[in-house]
Amino acid sequence: MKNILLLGLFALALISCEKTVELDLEQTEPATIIEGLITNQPGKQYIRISRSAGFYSSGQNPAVSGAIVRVEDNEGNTFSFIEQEPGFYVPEAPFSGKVGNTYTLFAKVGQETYTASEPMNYVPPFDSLSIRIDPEEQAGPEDEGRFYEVLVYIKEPQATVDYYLAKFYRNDTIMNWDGEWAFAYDDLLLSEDISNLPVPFYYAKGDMAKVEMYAVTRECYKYYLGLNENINSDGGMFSGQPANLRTNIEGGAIGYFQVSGLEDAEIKVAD
Amino acid sequence: MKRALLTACLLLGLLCSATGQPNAPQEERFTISGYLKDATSGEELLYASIFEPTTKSGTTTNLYGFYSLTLPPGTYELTFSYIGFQPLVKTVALRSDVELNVEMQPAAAVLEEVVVTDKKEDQSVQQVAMSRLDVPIEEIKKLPSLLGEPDVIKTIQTLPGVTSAGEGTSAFFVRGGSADQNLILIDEAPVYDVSHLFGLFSVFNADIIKSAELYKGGIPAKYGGRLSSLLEVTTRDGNAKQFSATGGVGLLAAKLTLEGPIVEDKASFIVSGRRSYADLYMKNSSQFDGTAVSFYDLNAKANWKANNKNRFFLAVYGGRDIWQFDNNFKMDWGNQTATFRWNHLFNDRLFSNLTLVYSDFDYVLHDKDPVDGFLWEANQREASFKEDITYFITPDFTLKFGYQGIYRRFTPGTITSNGAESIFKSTSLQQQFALDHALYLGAEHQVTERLSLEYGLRYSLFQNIGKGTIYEYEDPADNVDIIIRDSTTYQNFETIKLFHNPEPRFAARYMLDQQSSFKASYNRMVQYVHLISNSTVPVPFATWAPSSPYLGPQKADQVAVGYFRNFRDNMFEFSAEAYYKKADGLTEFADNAELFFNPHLATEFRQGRSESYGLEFYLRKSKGNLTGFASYTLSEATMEVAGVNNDKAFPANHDRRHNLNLAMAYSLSPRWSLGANFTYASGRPITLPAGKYDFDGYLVNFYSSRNGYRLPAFHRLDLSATYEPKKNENRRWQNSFVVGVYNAYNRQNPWTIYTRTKQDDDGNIIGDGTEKEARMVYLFGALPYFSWNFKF
Repeated sequence: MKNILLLGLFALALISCEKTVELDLEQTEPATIIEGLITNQPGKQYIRISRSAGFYSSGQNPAVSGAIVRVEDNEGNTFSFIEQEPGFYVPEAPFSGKVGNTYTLFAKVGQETYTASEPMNYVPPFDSLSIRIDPEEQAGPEDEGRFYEVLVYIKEPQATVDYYLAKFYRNDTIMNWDGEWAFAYDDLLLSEDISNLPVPFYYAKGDMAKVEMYAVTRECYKYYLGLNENINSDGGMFSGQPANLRTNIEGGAIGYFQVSGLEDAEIKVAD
Repeated sequence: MKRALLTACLLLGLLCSATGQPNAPQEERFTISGYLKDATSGEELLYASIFEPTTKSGTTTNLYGFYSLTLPPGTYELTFSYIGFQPLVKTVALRSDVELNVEMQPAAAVLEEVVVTDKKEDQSVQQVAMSRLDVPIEEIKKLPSLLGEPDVIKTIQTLPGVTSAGEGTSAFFVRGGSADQNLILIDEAPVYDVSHLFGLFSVFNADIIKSAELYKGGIPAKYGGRLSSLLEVTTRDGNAKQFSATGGVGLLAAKLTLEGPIVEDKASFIVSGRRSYADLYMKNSSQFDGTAVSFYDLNAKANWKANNKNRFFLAVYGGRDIWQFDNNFKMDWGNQTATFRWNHLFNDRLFSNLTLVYSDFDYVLHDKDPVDGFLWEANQREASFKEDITYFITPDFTLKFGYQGIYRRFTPGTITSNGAESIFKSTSLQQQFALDHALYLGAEHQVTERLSLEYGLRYSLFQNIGKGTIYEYEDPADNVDIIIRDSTTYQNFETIKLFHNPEPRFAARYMLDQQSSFKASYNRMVQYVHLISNSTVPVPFATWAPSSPYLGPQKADQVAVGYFRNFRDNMFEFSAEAYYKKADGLTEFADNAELFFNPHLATEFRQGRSESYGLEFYLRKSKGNLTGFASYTLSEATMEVAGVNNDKAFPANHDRRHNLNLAMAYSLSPRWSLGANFTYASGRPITLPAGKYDFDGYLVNFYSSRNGYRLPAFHRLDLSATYEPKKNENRRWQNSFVVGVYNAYNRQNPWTIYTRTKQDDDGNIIGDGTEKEARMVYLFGALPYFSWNFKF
């Protein structure tokens, strides 16, 4: 829907012009940001703790080091995390989550303790991926050589209410329109048989295409919808009023601790 | 209890005065009544003045051009006056009831100053109504406009007490209220979306409009349904004397109006069409790659004066925007309205108006892709019945009462799959239904020679009805964990939830002297329908919803006082008004709410409060070579919504401290006239980030307060010149040419600010992609235009 609204601004785009302005912005106390991911695949688990920075700051968020981080599941297992890089915490002993379990984060930063909890939901596996040439794009590709479509085949379980986050990669580089869009979906309108669904990017011959599908909770889905609005707000004229994102972190930090069932599929682009 | 008592007193007061007043002087009285018309076209003149100097009695014509004046027997000289027309004096020997239809001649030439012989052009001073402005349609045609399309809504945005969110939008904000709090009527039918091209132009074609009245406060009991204002647009009836055509070609659109008698002086018609034509060019240009944008408006009206007691009108309007992208994707939206009216005179003092109205707004999004495309449709429809009765009891006392009933149907969204290959299934959101009733009784009461009152009560009753299923939520404000405890299914027309509210209205005018008056008013307004949008300017893809178990009605109370004075023989009209308005139950939403296709929309509702006050000054000159107006408004509007901005009050999206507008037209000679607009407004509030952070590669803005910043001030000057060649006496054909420039000194007026990852003009990321930048968007630079208009 958002895409459609942006498309609607076309009329204004025709007659408008814009320029970069320097804003005199107030400084606020930095907030603690927690970014966490627990999946059912090995090597994907991490917790990142950092702080927000000024709007005009450069570089990544200032890291928060020395935190004590652990994740527990509802079977009584505890997974300790160690700081691999400043502010970036990974499991001390590699583990994979189990679909159906609930995972709880405990992070102690100085005197503050932050917690968050989410269940790991089921995500259907991909049936397959396939490759097709888009003749229109081939006739005049936006990027040289990139006119191959990657088609997705998957079954959407109709008996459950599900939410998804899709991630697309081209040769291990994530494709999200330069950090402007998170592909979060609900299944309200989806039919069971998803076939021939092109991913929203074109590929060139020889590219490695990868698609990941994360099962997310409704709260996480709403987090990503909010993220899209936050990043793409037009200042509140035609889009909603700019607002902070929701969080599932308790204890005063913001950010999101995401627990997801994860499936992926890849294909090499060839004729 | 207190409220019930108040209501009872008010009703009682009304009845006492209604029964007591006419009988008080037990003498014989007769009534002069009739219609006031333009002698050249037969068009009725609305809100024109009728004055009798010896008894100092007077009245005005109503929305249908009808007047009625009851006096003791005698010989009277009645003066009829209307701006832009030569005043007319008629002598009437009143020995029985008299029917007097009057035709007035337009003021001879623009250059000759209209000679004013009476004192009744001072209607703004004399009338009880305050906070009411008429948009001078003929005058705005002489003023500069965007691409040469005179636009009623754009002029309304310059009136005192009205702000806009920015140029290029058709939303307007009255006395601190939001855009959905305005009831916009065309021939009494509501228009839900007044924008073409996302607001660059409004749906009102200036060629067919007869009058446009904006009520900002002191709203009579007859009207209700919205919190902040009523805009009543009336279209012309069509020339009842002779056939004529008017038309024009501008940079944007071409238009043609045909009108004429069906039976001379008995029945007439008018048809007017307007269509943009950029799409014709776009379709044939490879540059646009199949993209084409167009809009059209079609108005038609027929009226039949069966006899002096019965008149019938039928008016229809249809308009649409059609946006076609590369043959695969199309979106379109539009309004359709129809009005049938029967004016009936039971006798010369009892005027009845029966109206049947239909209104529909719909939008369609159609992506034709067989796999990931769909057809999305949404609409809202209403049909209403209205009976309004005016009883002219004595010249000092008029009673108005009536009933309005509306049936509403809301279809928030239906999705149709493109077929077997589609990843989507066909599905739809529940329709919602409502029945809306209102009974009102109001009086116009001249208490003494100096003091006049208008008071009344509107009692509104709103039923959210079946069929439908209502869920009972564990926590209706929890939009994440939606736990449904139970659900109830209601049958067709079964009441789901009932709301009812008394809406008292009061206005008083005290004449300080012949040229000046003091006025005061109070009104309570209740709004039962809600726009589902959290943007500042509503987009056409917003739906409406009825008041329902999880969404209570919105209510507003407003008080206003004003000083009105005319100068220099009514050459200048001046008014100063102060208002205070408080509203609660305002429809707001959770942060980052999901408003599109959400079956549990109820969990996103958050109702808020607003407070606004302001001071308005208005100076208008409607006679002489130089005509126009100046308006200045000093105002403040704040909002408070639980859960937003840490529960603290914040400036409303359209809150602008200062608003100054000048609009002037100057007749240089019979051939040349010049027009100028100047507008200045404090910058609108905007929410800007106080910081940022990266999350999984996304650069997220971190906000500390809602609407904590202001855009730079807005100011703009527009100029135009109109040339009307000397008319050939032997031919009816008449041309006029307009040249103009919008934003004459090419001011870059900020429209909004958005943020993005730092990048160059070609969209390539600068640096490591962790830096952000703010971009200010400007709409129009200096825009010259030309248009040609004709009439025969």
